[in-house]
Parts: sequence; C-alpha cells; structure tokens
Amino acid sequence: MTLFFFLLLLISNSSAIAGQICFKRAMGHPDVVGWHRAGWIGAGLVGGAIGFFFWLALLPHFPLSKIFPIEAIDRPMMAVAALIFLREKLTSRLMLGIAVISVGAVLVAGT
Amino acid sequence: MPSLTSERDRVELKSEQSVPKMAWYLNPYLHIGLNVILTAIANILFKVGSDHTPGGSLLGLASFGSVAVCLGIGCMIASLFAWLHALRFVPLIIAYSLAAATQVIIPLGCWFFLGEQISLVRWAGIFVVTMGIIIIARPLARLEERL
Repeated sequence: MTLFFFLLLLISNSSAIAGQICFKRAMGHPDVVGWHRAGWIGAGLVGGAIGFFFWLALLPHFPLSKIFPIEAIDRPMMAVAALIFLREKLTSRLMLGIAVISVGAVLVAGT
Repeated sequence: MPSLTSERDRVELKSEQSVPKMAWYLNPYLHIGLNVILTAIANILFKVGSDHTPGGSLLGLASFGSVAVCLGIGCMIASLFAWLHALRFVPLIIAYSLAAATQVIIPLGCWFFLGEQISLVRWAGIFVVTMGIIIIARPLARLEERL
C-alpha cells in the first residue's frame, strides 16, 4: 500500500469517526429532538459520506478481505474520541478488548 | 452476543446507560447484530459491483452504475437505522467495539462468496478479533443472564 492509498484510508477513517460522534450526539441525549437531532444526524451522514467516497475509491485496488480489517486500527482512535467528545467511561476490560481486537485486525490485515 | 429472545431479557437492563423495558426486537444489541450483518452484505456487494466497473475514476463514482452497488447502498441505509436505534441506549465505544464483528464476518464472507484466500495468519487474526469481542460482550451477556 503506497502512501497515497494510506492517506486515502486515513481520511476515510477520520471522517467516519467524526460521523459516529455526531450520530451518538443525535441519539444519546433525550433532550436532543426534532431539527436538533436531524442536524446531528445530517452531520454524521456528511462525515460518513466523505469516508464512503474515499472507501469506494480504494476498493477496486485491493481485495476486500485484506483492506477492510485495516479499518480496525481506528478503534483506539475511536476510544480516545469517545472519551474526549462524549465523556464515555473507558473501563480496563473495554481497553483490553479494544487492544485485542486491534491486534487481531492487524494480524488479519498484515497477511 | 447476549441471548435476546427470553422473557427475562425484556426487563430493564441495568448498565452504564440503562436500557428501558422493550420488546425483544427492539433490543439494541440485536440491532448491533443486524447492523453487522447488513454492513457485511453491503461491502461484499460493493466489491462485486466495483470489480465490474473501470478503476481509476474520480472517487469511484463509476461504481454507482452497478446494480450490486445500489443494492449495497440499500443495505447500508437499513444498517444505519439499526445502528441509530442501538446508539440510543448503548455507549458508542461499546457499540463500536461489538461492531468489530464485521472484521470477522466480512473476511469469512469474502472467502465463502468471492473465493478470496484466507491465510493461516489471517485465520489467527479472525480468532483474536473474536476473542476481543467476547472480552467486551461477556459482562453484558452476564448482566442479561442475571435479569
């Protein structure tokens, strides 16, 4: 994978994470309703759409079973993002699980 | 994935964010599972579709002409609704970690449906990812068993 394709993947992942944070903001609070909720969902869709277009651009160049697991590297990034932006609780068991999943994903992606 | 069908599961699930009493088909963990399956189907359809369109087009826009890609988009929209429902009750970091099941199901789907090869190391990786999901899901399953 060249630096160019890795950059495409990084943009795709970062956009998707930002989108997920927006989705959680839309659905996670009972006070967020109506247009307020729709706005957050819309922002989440924009983030997801940017990630999706970059993802579609990558797909023809690599086997899916190889490129898709690389996405799991963004899991620690997501944990940090959820901690900072959503103030979610990160237990030691959850961190262990995320670490194991990431190691597994690297094993899958590296072959 | 915790058991979702027993009568006991309908009572309130006390966790970091409690899940109110609801019908089994509204259980957020079931919707995370639905999201995983639909995402896997969608990505396999995207791969099938994009393989039949010329590469090198701007951001893969040519792939939109493919029926498989359009069906994949339909699956993605359905998975989004399941995901949004799950996020109402489950913390994002837990939901996102459980959704790592796509890392297992997609390679298996590619192997089974697209004939892509899975090496021994990749099988080991699939096993390790599954272990990680079990580490996160087990306390949630035990919680439901107690209820």
